[in-house]
Amino acid sequence: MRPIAHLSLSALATLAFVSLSACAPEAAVPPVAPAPVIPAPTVAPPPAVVATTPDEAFRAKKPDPLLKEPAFVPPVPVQRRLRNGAEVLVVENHAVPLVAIEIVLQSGVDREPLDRRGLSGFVAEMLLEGTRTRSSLELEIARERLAAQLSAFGGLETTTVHLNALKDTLPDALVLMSDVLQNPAFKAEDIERVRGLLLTSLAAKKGNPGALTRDDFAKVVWGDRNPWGLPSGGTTTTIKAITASDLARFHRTFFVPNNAVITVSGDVTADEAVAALEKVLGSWKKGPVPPARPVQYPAATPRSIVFTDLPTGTQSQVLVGWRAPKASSPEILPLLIANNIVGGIFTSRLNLNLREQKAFSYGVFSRFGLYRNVSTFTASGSIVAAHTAEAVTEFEKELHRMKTEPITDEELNRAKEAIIRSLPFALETNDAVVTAIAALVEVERPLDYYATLPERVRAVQKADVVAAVQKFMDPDHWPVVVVGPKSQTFDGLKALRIGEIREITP
Amino acid sequence: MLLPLALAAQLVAHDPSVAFEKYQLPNGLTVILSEDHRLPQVAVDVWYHVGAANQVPGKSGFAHLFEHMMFSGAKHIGPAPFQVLEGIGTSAGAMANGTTSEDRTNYFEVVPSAELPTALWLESDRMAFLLDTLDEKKLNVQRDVVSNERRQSYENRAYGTAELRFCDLFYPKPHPYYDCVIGTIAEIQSASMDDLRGFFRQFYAPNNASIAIVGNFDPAEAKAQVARYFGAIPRQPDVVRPNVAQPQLSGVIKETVQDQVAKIPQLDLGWVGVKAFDPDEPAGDVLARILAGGKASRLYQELVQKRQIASDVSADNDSHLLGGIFGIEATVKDGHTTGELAPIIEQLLDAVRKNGVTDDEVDRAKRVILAGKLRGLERIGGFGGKADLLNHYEMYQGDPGYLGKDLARYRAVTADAVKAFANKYLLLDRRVILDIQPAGGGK
Repeated sequence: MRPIAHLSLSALATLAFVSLSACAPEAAVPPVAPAPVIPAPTVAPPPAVVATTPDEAFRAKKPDPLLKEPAFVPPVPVQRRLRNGAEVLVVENHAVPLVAIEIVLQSGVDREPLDRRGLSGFVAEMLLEGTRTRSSLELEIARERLAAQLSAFGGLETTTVHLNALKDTLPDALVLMSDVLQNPAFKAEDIERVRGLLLTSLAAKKGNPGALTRDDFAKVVWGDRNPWGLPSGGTTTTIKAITASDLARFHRTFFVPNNAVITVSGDVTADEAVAALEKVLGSWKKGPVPPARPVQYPAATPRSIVFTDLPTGTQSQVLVGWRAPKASSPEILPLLIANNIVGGIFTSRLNLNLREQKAFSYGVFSRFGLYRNVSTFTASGSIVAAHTAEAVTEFEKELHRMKTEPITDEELNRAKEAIIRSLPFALETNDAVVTAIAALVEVERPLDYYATLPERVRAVQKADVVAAVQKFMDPDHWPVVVVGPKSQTFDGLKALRIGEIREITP
Repeated sequence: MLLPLALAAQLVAHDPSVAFEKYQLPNGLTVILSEDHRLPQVAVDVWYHVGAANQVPGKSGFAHLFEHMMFSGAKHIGPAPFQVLEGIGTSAGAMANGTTSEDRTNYFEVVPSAELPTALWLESDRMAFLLDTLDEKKLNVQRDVVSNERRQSYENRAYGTAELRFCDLFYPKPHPYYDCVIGTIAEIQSASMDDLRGFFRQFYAPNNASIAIVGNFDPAEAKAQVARYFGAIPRQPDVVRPNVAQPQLSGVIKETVQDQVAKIPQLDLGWVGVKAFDPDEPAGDVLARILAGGKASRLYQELVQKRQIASDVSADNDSHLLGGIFGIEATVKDGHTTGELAPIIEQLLDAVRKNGVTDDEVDRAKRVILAGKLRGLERIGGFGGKADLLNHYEMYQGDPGYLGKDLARYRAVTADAVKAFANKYLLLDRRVILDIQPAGGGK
């Protein structure tokens, strides 16, 4: 078992600025094994009298920083282009003999037909299930021999193929990556097998409170005429409707070099990287990419609580949020700072209130999901079921307090330092760098974004944060999403008089 | 694309290594320094050699509850260590956290290079002055937070309930791993201030800890700072490292677990495995990969790819100071049953016991395992970076520089050793079978 962490990493896994009865086991067969007999552990009794550390003046306050601090030079990628038009962005990092490469197609869920929701993720799953010349088993064996990591996954507006390879065998690993990217076989038997796995994941999701909450939120903010508003991964109806030609068409249309960004980070120079990529992607042909539809979403509707019953849960998942400005909007930087004050870091208002004071939760956090045309802001956490309604009130209170109570200098400083100081940590590994650089292109940020970020964050004044908050933060009109046991929560939620309670059955 | 056999499992021309310097303060604190000047930051990682292994019956979850108290402040740093850390831009979560495992508890932070003294000030304050500010109110809050953690991480998570049951069956009371590391809510709630004080005095001593400092620092400066902040903390009586024999199974235990959250049935199989750094451990790790690591593995190919009765399968050779479990988890494909999986898994295990595995399978598994260790060296700290690696080898082997030997023991695994492991440990008549069923009857 992995060690258990003091606070949940998953809640903090995405870097805001990058955009990034329990059980009563019943014996089916009576146990035939008697409990083994083992000796009780021997533990010495605690010492009665303990020497203590002498208190000294230097401990009284936080030490001053050391005088010299080396400068951080954030990665700015070298920009190249393959002959077929694919953009290549390279960051050199010779620390460890590894190279990460990401090929990111600038199309994802946003390009799925409504009745084919789940298509882009289905395509990504199929990429590693065999090419015209290699079966999935052959691909996997070759990958293991090279000790390379190769994966493919879909996003809301991108689809990605990711490679992490040893420097010495990079050319061979690139052959696999290129084959997977360009030549998926989409064989009927493999499609049916993967379809079964996707349907199993959809069934499993009904037991995942976090995923159900995200689905309910997406439904409210994007509506049912935008694929983003339909359940992630699709529904049993849409997954069953997807045909081999749907998969092939999506792949043919969007997997073209003029729709791709290739990011490279690792023990390789830009020249070496481009030469190696040209060798395997030279024959990859351009194609016309239809223009993207504008992002659709419903007009504001009367406020409501969106509720999904999870009868056996001991906690409720609570989420409050709304649509937010696009990633490249100038308001985003002050809003990211505001987010760190309200819920982006451990010492934020939401977490200190709901975890450290009320002890309703193991952790409550807020974040921006940043995208090309329109983003989202969400504050959420797992709450002891009996305290669900009280927690909703506290969520609202903290969001309101951002508008009504002054931000302290200490809060502002912490929020800004969190962005500036975590930059080296966030960009430490090759995998993180290729993803972060690709995200810049996805959301239309400049390539020197990370290099200029510290200076831009320092320049943000308290008044800028206040202005952005006053304009954006509007909890009185934002929906509340709750996924939890109805029997323990419903009366309390009704008594809040927030608006209609809309029940959604997954 | 096939590499010459001579290169088998030799991934790169030279084995990676991590340069370090180790010394001990007069009070017994082990200090490990390792310079890495790529980035303007430094990782500080304190390992206390206390975990679930040191718990006594009735106190399940105590080591972990105590870890939470270490985040409730100390005399000089004030009531909120994370406030200090986030004040210098070190965000709680990936950059600063604490974790508790079967055998040890650690506290880490990655801070800007110039703030190394602040990290040492903070860690020394809670090593020396924790009890000065600990009170009933703080304990009450953290008892509830930890209870919430159990709800979120086990009770409200698919298959979490079976995970807890596994610990109890393999490590029955009074074994200290009983109830996994998290413990039961009743016992967490029963923890008292006296328990906390006793635990702190007994285990949170400099001579029961090691501190790794990795990153961008000047060694002379770091040594002076470590001496300043930790030098005066008194040594305490040595902690006797627990040494409990691993409980053995005397038959087959088969249970059905009603899972309140999961919607898809799963079959969990487990055998008594090996302790950490046992000579058989690497062969067990290789076997786990051959059986169920990745899509080329035997169980994946048979259950997911060919027969299409499972949606996923994994295997793990989990090893700790006081015992280990070799486990296999197979989740059904929607519409199929655990009853279909069991006999096929048994056939495949039997084939390994009788006919062993191929050299090619062993070679591929070793490559993946060895490359994983290389990838672990990209980061100075956080979860599982170089600071953790140095502390890990120090605690289990007394040698932070064990990496080369660790790679060598994996490289030495042969197909015969893997077959022998299967025959020695994966016994047909001594195992645990958990049949996990959705309590609500599924979807």
